[in-house]
Amino acid sequence: MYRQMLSATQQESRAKNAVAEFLFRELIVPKVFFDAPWPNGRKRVDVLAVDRSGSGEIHAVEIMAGTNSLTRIRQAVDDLGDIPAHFKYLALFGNKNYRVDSRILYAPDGLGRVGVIQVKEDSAGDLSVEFSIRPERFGLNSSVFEMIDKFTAARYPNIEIRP
Amino acid sequence: MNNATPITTLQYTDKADHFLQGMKLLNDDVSAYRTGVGLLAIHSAISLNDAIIVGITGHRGKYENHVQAADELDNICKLTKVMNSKGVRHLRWLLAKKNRVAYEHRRLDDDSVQMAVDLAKKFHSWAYNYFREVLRVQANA
Repeated sequence: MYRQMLSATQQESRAKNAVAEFLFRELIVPKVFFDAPWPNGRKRVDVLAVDRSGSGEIHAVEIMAGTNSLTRIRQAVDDLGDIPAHFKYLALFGNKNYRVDSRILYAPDGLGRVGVIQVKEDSAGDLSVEFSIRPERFGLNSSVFEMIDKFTAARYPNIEIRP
Repeated sequence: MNNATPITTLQYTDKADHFLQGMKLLNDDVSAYRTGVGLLAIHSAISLNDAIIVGITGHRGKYENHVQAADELDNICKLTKVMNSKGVRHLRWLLAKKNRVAYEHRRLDDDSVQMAVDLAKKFHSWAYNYFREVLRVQANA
């Protein structure tokens, strides 16, 4: 009964947490950042996970909570297109049974597909997370590792395994 | 820190990944897979250590026992001026449990299994933090 009183921001934050835990489990030993200013301060990535303690593949997630607006979802996918990441995901929470048109998920050159993550809430209020569409790797220049090294050196992750 | 043998390093990091992910999966039902969890934790660290050693020296050491692998990692840390030696301690702890887990009749207690899981993850974190250039072949593959 309390869940219905949560604000949109609170619901989005719950989804961020659930997705972060999901990636933390799926990946090897990631560093996870919430609202990450990646690749620069003009854009915030809802959940950014850099695998292998910040030395590996970059995973970027855009959270969409409580909307079935095709325009907004398409915009979210477009926004992901500008983010340098090896794997990109759209995470849907409280979007009823909305299914993403898979054609919009592919990179223009076909090298990469945005994955779709479904966040679901059961009657007890517990969240579960699963892939509805698995991601395909995007092509990136290896110079991105210089950028990510600077990024991870400049801030503490929200979640990590400490050595 | 250049990688002397990127392909072989990648083969070892792949093995380390498989062991680590298997460990995480089985750890969800630790009572059913206790010994498997422990062994996968230990082997994930052994394989990642092999990746570091082969990446830096160009060859994998042949050891009378696995404790020598930790000694070699310790030497590599000194050679490459890696001052943080936590990873060597994690590896030593895991290697010290290998015979008990794999060959002896005694079972690993709950605390030791959990410690093995934690230290395997910590060893991976340490390795990727301090040998990132050597191990980055994975991400570039």
